[in-house]
Amino acid sequence: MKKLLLPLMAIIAASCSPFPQDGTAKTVYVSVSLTYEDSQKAIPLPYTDNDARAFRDEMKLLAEASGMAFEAHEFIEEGSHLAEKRTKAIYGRDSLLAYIRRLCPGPDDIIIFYFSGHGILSEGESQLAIGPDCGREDMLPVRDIREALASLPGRKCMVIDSCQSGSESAAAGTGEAFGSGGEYLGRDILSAFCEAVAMSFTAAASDGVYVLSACTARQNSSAGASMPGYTGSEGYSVFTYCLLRSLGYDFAEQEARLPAAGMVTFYSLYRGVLESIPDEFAARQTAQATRKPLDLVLFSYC
Amino acid sequence: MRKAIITIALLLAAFPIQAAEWMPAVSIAASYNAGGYPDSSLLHSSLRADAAIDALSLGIGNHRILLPLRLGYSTRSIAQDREIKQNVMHFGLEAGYGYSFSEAFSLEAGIGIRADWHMEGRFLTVSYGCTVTPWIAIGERFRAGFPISCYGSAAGWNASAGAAISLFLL
Repeated sequence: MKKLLLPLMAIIAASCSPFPQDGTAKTVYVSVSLTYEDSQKAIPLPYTDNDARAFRDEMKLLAEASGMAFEAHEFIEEGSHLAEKRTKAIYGRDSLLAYIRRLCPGPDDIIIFYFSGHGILSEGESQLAIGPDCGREDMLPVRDIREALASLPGRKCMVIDSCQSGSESAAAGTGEAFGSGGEYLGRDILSAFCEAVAMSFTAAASDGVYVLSACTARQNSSAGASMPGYTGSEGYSVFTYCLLRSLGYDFAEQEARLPAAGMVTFYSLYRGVLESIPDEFAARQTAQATRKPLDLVLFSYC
Repeated sequence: MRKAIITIALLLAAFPIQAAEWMPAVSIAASYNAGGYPDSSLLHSSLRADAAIDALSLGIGNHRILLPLRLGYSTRSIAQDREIKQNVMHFGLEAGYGYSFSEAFSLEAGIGIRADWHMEGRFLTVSYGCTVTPWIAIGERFRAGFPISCYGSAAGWNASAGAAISLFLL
């Protein structure tokens, strides 16, 4: 009886997941977070450490629950430089991109890139401040990271928590309307239809990278806000807090929790932010996501 | 161009409007839906339900002119290679023509535009295509049919085949 039950249980467990659970697939997690504490120019962001730690813990728990190995590559601020957390090796714009290109994921792997720090819109594209001084040489376009990730095998997802971060998340077909100050006004169905008609004739150039950003390219991402009813929100950025809250992260215990739904997809993260964010922030920072007819399954577990 | 306009005008003038009969109808359908999308070499399949309201349909002898408004919903697909088709709501408008070969059997075909609202991503795509439906009469007012539709655009394509039931309201 036992001989029959064990293979049966293994088959049921395997059928719960849309991808291999035999330990061959892994989650390659790359995070870059800076506090800008030693910066002469930028405003310090003390909460980014909390963001990066909590997000890593949640991704690790989800990966392990999905039967995947978890491989973390974390970059933090060391002195006045960006450094790899484990080796303390110093990285700049080009060397960080080269590091990403050297990652060796397999075709079944998930690569998640997470950024928490300052960002600006410059020359029409979102750029991330990967150096404490936020000088010109410290600004890394989101597009460059996206292209570096696109060159890798596997499935790729970027989560960008910074101001003015949404230039790489095309919003065509959403009908989202924004005011002159960048504030979200609502959805316009006619605009959505016109955008969709325009898109229907041009082949969508896509590199397979899904990008979720905290706000549009003209909005700012809030942080350290005390939100009534949202335990511990003042220690995190609003975007990462809402994202983790939707996944079930326990902020009181500062501990990762598995969401009740057995599957976490790219669009479930996006919806999670939209549904968790309080109204007073929703108009000021509107999360943006790459629009594709297919959703990306990041984690699946029983 | 001028010749074409004159020809169309003459044809319209010759059209036996007085013999036309208003034939509003509603129908519901259940289908199997399959689609392909950019960035994916896989075929994603799902179940689909549709309702059509054809309030402006006109019948002239064995001929029928159609202008159905279609509303539909297709489910998420099963995940393959980490990809999953989203839940989609479909809104379509078609212009079509039908012909009754006998009292029992008729065939309808239409071309149209369809807007698909992707529920998880919260965005719209538009596609263009056609639907062909053979119908078998069941009594005076009901028909059973087997609609086959195919729609596509740069955002992807999908095809569906299923069964439908239609009711003439008058």
